[in-house]
Amino acid sequence: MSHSGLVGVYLSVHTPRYCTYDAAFAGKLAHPDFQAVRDGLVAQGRHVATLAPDAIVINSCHLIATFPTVVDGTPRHAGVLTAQEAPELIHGVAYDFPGDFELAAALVERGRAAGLPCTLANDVHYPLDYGTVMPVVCYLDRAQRIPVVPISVCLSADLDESFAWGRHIARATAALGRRAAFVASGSVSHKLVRGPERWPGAAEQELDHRLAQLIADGEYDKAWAWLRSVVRQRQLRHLADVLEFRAKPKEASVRVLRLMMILGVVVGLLAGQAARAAETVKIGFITSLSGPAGVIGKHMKDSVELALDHLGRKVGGLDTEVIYGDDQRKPDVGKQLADEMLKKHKVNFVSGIIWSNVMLAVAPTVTGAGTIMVGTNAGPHELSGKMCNELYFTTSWQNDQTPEAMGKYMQDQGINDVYAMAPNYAAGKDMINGFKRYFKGRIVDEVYTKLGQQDYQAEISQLRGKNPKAVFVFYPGDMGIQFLKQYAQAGLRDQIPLYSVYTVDETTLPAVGDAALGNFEARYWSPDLKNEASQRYVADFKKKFGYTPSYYGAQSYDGILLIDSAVRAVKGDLSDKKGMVAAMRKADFKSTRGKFTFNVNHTPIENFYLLRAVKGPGGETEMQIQKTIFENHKDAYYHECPMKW
Amino acid sequence: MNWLLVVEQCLNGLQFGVMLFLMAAGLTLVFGIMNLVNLAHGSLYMVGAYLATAAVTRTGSFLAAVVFALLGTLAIGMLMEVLALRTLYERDHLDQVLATFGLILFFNEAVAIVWGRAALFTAVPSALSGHIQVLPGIRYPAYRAVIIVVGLLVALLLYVVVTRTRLGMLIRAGASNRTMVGALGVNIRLLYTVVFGFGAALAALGGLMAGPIYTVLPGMGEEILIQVFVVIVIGGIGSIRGALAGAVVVGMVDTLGRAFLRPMLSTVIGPSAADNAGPALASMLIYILMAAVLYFRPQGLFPALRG
Amino acid sequence: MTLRLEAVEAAYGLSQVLFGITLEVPAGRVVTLLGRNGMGKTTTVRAVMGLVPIQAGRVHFGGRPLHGLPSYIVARAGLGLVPEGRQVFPNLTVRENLVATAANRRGAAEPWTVERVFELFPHLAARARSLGGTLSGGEQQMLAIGRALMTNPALLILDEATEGLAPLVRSEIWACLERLKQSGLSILLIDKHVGAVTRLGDHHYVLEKGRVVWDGTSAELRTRVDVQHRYLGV
Ligand SMILES: Nc1ncnc2c1ncn2[C@@H]1O[C@H](COP(=O)(O)OP(=O)(O)OP(=O)(O)O)[C@@H](O)[C@H]1O
Ligand SMILES: [Mg+2]
Repeated sequence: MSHSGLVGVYLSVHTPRYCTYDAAFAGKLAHPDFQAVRDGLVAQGRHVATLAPDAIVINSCHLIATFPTVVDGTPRHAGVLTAQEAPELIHGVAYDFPGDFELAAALVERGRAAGLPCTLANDVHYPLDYGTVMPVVCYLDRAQRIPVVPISVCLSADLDESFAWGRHIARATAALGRRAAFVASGSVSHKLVRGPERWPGAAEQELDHRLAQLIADGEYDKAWAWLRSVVRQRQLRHLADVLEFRAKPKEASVRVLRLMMILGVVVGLLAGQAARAAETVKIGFITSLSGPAGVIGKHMKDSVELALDHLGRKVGGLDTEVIYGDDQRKPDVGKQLADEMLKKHKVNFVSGIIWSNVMLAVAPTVTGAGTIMVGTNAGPHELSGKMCNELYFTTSWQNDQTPEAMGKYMQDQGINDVYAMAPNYAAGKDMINGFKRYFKGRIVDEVYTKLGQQDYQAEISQLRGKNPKAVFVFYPGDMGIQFLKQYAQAGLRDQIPLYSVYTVDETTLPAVGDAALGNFEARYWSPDLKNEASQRYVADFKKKFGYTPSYYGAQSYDGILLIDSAVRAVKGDLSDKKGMVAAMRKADFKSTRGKFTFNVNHTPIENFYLLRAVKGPGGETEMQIQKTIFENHKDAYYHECPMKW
Repeated sequence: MNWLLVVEQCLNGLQFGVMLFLMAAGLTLVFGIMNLVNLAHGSLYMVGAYLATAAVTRTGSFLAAVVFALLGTLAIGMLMEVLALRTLYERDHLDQVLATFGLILFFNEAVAIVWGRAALFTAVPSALSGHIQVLPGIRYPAYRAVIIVVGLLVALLLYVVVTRTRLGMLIRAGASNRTMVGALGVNIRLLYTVVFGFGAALAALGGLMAGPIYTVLPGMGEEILIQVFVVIVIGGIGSIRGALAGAVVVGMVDTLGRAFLRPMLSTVIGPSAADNAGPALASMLIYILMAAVLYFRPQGLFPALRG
Repeated sequence: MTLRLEAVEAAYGLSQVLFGITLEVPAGRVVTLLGRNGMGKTTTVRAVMGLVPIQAGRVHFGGRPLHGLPSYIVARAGLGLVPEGRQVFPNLTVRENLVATAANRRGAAEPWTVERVFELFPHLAARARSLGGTLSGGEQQMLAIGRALMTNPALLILDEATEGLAPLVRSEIWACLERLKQSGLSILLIDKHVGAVTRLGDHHYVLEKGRVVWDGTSAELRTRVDVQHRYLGV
């Protein structure tokens, strides 16, 4: 039990008969039957001492607030206590122990975020009750050195709200990196009846044993259900009973309810803790799985699956669930999917996205909901520039980067009279702009075609009419297949060399065949890239799926590894977004492209290579890296991104 | 403007047009006669392309592939009519759209299961891979020229069948009054099945010819289907003549628009504005045309005569 | 071949129209169905042709059961329908209307041909290339009769074949039906012209609200002024 979070949970009592200095320090008990309980409390104190927690969070049934839950963050709790309810037994007890403002503030912040009414107290005069003070000073920390954060019971809260508090306490302490002990000051058998002679009998004590046993066994669901049933049996069917004080005296009922609420906190806490330990990472992966781009989606999905295999099906050590969504290449469908994943599936991350126009619809939806988006293909310039976001990362590139590389290469080669073509959508424009940023030669014409167009014969006729020296195109997916085939069929392949980006790759080569031979491409990754991570990815991918992976897949594989690195860094606390973002910025994982860094805009700074379609050893056309065009190339938009880190 | 280029683009437009016609013919017959909106017509185009590709890789013969794809899709189309579409004739169009959309999903997945999601490779048959001299100065890809010829022959054949044969008369009679056709002793259900099968075969012909120049992919039929609907709306629903006219018009307008709209615009509004507006406008051109036709001639250019 | 209906009941959806029609058309005879508007004459014909489903009862033709069969099979059994409202195919030419559904399934020795139909209706010959939709009412009626004859039926069913026609055209049609009767064709005739009907017909059934309320020969009908008055509104 060394890592952060809740390291110990104690069910303590505060009945004056156990919690006076006489009873605690001198062992003077009014009845021999009390001995067992006192021994238990002493043992708790020893346990706390060996555990040495950073803080004690204590919830007593006598610290009462009516409407909000009050968390006491007073940095130093000092005073003299005379118990409101038992002035004759507990009076003039001097106490002085530290508080933990930061932890208290974190609890309140979390409670507020979850919509629970709560208030932070920071005031030496905030009164403490004997249920809070006595167990601490008598047994749990007699030296009074451990910071204490008292939490009130709230009369307006129901059992469910109490349960919710338990979870928030568990998570907030973990998120803050504190090792805290939680003390519930009260018990099931804590009968609030007049007359000390009517202390809990064997049957009532059994209730406490039962709860303790359920908790010890980790049966939180059962404990929770049982607790509810006890509340019901104890004439607390609903609050109306309590408030109308019909059958029972008001006082007793309210108190019993209060007690139950503390215990509700305990169970919630433990359940929260347990749930965290067994928490699942949910990743929504959106791509195009049907239609002409379905093959790209398949490359991506298969790569996600391979990444999960390599991680033992556990991202960040947690059980992992990936929910795949098919955007059908449509921005509106992508956005709907993202909404559904966020609201219905409550995913912790959204990843994927092939198309820039889809990304422009999805990314703001995801980050706007406070969820981390890891893009694994599309790189619209907006998201690397003005619209950059803390919660948005991409494992691929900014659209312009790759055509910039091609532009640079063609510029260096002294090529002139270039005919440029791309589909008419967000990425198409980015591609041509990127190309022109580095290519300064003559551009004969710049043609945009309809996204998803099948027949390029008309454009090819026009192209031939202009008689360019070289052609630069961006035609991803099925558009590339069609364009390349028709270009070759028009007899132009041997006449005008073709330079492309995102056009000839492992998703299109099987269908393009020899029509691609000789084609130049620029890219940041290729299956023949020589590094350990890439070679393992390619080899295992081929083994598992029986085909050659593409950069779409490599990026998606990297996306899962990036998420894994983030979840690992926060030790599985998925609520710790800041921690995960900080970890992701380090790009601390074995990327298929080799080591790389993120720019301030969360866009990779990476190498770009010149590739060429050649006949491979097996007689099939394949891409081969020819040379490095750019080393550690930054995108052109990071200056516009206001993010600083 | 170079007139040779204009002629070449007209050929391109014609080629695209006849491709659209092959799809539109079946779709318009089915709509006109059976009053059925069949969104899954594009799936039959896809099935045709896949069957042909499968056959050509197996046998190496393009002709065998043509026969196999046509017969195979004919059979699949008839089966589809008997199993799924028959129950839809009496339902309203929304039901038909929903049901046939379901069929699209079915066919796309079925094809992906059998052949995978990746595009399949098919080459133009080697005998047709060259170019032919259409006019002095215009060399045109032989395969595309063949598409034009086949498309026009099919149009002629269809015209003869519909206007000159008993089958054609029954098809037309059925379009106007199916009850009477039945009451005079004709098995109208069988007639529908046969017509549907032939519509499917026409779609398959389009698909199998498209395979070597476009992409053989799951979902390849949907892209063209939208344009085909534009064709039949422009041509007049239910009319073969309308389908041909609409297809050629759409093919021409789309192709010439893509080729010449931007250069022409740039002389009017300047090159940079034309760069922005041109491509967008070119891709909208056929829809603008459709809107105009609907406005001035809501029944289409050559509406089918009906009762 | 005799057409026999036994206790035929039929309904449109939930509203029953025929309540047990029993009648007979013996071979070579002309039998008529009489009755005021909406009494179920057309429905009887539709029930026979399989165009409305029969709820109960049986239909036999030449001993062969026809109830529950699709209409094309009924037609192929030898029933030729000239429907109410003519229903020629408007988008087919006259010739095409005749040819499209023509058949000689029962192997008639002298099957009907377009030329024979034109002989019967010389009017049509002149308009052979006109579209059905462009014909006059009388021409359409002749075409509808010709179209039914081209299926070479054993029994011709005419539903209101003279309705809305000019007297001259009407008598041309009556004359033609006379010739068909002479040729030995059985005819089931629905018409409102009692005079003409009693001249041509052999036996008559009077329908009232989906039931046969009277039947008898032409001679009997002529004497039963009460029947004519009460059921036929004459
Ligand atoms: N398609 C239909 N749906 C519902 N009811 C119908 C339909 N056709 C006819 N009817 C009703 O069935 C009854 C019989 O109609 P039918 O057409 O058989 O009468 P008819 O004797 O032929 O009359 P007419 O002399 O006017 O032709 C009428 O009450 C009519 O309103
Ligand atoms: Mg009638």
